Amino acid sequence: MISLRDVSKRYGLLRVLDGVSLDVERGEVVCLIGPSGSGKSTLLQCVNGLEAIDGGSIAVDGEAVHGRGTNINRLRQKLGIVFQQYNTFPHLTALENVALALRVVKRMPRRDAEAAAARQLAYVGLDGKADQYPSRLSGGQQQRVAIARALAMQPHYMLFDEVTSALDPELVGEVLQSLRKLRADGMAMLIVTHEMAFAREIGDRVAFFQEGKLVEVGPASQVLDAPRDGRTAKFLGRAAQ
Amino acid sequence: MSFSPYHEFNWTDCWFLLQGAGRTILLMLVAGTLATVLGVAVGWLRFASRAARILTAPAIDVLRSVPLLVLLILVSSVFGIAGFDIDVFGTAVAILTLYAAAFAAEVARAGFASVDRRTRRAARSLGMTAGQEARHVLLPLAARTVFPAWVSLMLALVKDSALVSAIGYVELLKASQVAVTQTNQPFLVFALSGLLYFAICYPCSVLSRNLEARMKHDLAA
Amino acid sequence: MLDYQFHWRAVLADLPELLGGAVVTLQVTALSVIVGVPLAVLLAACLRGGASARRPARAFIEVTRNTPCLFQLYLFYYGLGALGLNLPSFTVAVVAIGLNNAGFLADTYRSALQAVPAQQTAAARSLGMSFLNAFWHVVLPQMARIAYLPTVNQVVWAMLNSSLGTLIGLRELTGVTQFLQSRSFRTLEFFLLTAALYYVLAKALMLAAALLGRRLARGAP
Repeated sequence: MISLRDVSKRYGLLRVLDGVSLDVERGEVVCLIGPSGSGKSTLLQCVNGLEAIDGGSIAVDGEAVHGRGTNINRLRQKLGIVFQQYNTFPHLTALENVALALRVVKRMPRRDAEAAAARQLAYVGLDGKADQYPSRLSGGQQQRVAIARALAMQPHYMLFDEVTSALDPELVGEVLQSLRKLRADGMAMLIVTHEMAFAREIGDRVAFFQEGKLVEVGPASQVLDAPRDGRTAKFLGRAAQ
Repeated sequence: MSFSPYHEFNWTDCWFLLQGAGRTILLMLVAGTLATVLGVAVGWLRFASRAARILTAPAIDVLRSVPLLVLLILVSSVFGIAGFDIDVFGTAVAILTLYAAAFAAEVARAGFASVDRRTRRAARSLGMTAGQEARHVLLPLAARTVFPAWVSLMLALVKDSALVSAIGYVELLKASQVAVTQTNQPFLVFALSGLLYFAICYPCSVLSRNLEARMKHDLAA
Repeated sequence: MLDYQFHWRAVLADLPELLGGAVVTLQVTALSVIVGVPLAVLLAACLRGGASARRPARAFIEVTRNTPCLFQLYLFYYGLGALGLNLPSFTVAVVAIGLNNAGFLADTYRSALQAVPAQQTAAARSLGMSFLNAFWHVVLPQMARIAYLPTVNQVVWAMLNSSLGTLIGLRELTGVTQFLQSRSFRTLEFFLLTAALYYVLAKALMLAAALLGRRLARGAP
């Protein structure tokens, strides 16, 4: 379980996270929605320990992410993260992108790492592209390489940070397809998204964020169709236009 | 008191170093001017004519792939064999000019190449002759682009001029060596001459860097 | 000049000794690169750090760039000698030219480091890589792609600069030549041959670099 307790973070005077509490169970899919700059992406970076927090605590399977004695590199292997801007490694082929951390972090022999990487690429539908460099791949394909790269570490949880926002509209579908496949396989996911329809389809629960605060959280259909909080309703109304 | 061949470092030594620094600057001014003129001429030829580019390429390539020290010894030995009645200053200027010109020619060529063909055509369309266009359009535009590179080149020339101490010209480095043999205080003397070199070079490198940064900024704007 | 009689036989007979000098030249070059490149990476990292890391790095870079390399050699050789630290000329040449390499490459490496997006490190760290692993496997290879050509040019410079070692008594290519020509006084022939050897060494280094560099271009758009 990923559990956030009263997490707060500020940049100078700006409170980007303000007393956020949220749990994500194994096998559960939670979608985070809300206006840009409301702190959703920062939250994911905090869960992964890429960002520090100023208050509260975040624990993954009972281990504190920002704890003093925590081996963050080991803990991160439980948490896969995929970024908006893919961040594939440009100097490595698709296969090497996926195999690198297996070799370096898990210390797998090259042959095994590459076999595992090939399986992950096939999982996201990129079997034919293993030897291509990112510069020769479309945005959607690069994003799927990034997903395969994170999956290869066999994480317990996957964090998705607006993974379709930087893509051309016609490439969004192929990436969402990979996420659907993951859900069907029971992967626990925390997804920041602007695609309301997709959130409704894939999310067990939906959490609405505004100005660093978790305004409302509940079953996807309830939050999206019958929001209890006026701010959620207002946001959804604007998003629907 | 026992006899010592050395004397305390004094104002005379200081003045001696300053004279050396003066000669270093003199070398830079004379060789720098000659190298710039020669470099612009060769650079123009290389820019304008394919034949000239091919013909001058080996000379420039060799000058850039052989140590200055070796060139220095070669040229002075050729001068000796040819019976040129030329003093060390003349030899030093000749070799530094030749060496710096090889780099200046490339800088100049790049400068000419950087000027947009359409701008030059526009000038000709106004009725300018080729010569007028070169003087009023090509040269000023090229000069502006390569000015930072040219300043760096002059900076390199100051540093390279230290090598002519090897053929006996008493510029700043040779002056420091002499002062060291007289005072046996290498640290003090080298600290002073280092300071003098720095005082000559640092303004150049700051100037070159600032101009370059400003140009990048202007291009981005 | 025109009636000069070239005598090549004696010179060519000494070729093996000259080649021995060339080996020393290459040793100094290689070691100075081994000293210089990691130090330049470190300086580049310092330049991106806080003021307490940036200021000393900046000062070091400015001193190496704004004083002649020969001056730096003398400073280490005679200056340290005066402090009772008499280093062999080989060591001095390696250290001085190595530090010089570092000073000249640091700024290039800093901009290369800057050109690798911070997100690349974040992505690597998110997979559980340690900071050093992320730097080594992800940042450095991308940085190397940008910094390779300037580094190769600096290696050639270091090779040419190693000739300055002669002036502190190092028997590298130029030093050996100087010694050999003093026995026969065939200065011109000896130094022509040496110039040719330097030319070949420079071209060989460039060629080797081009072959090695192919690997680095992987994945370039």
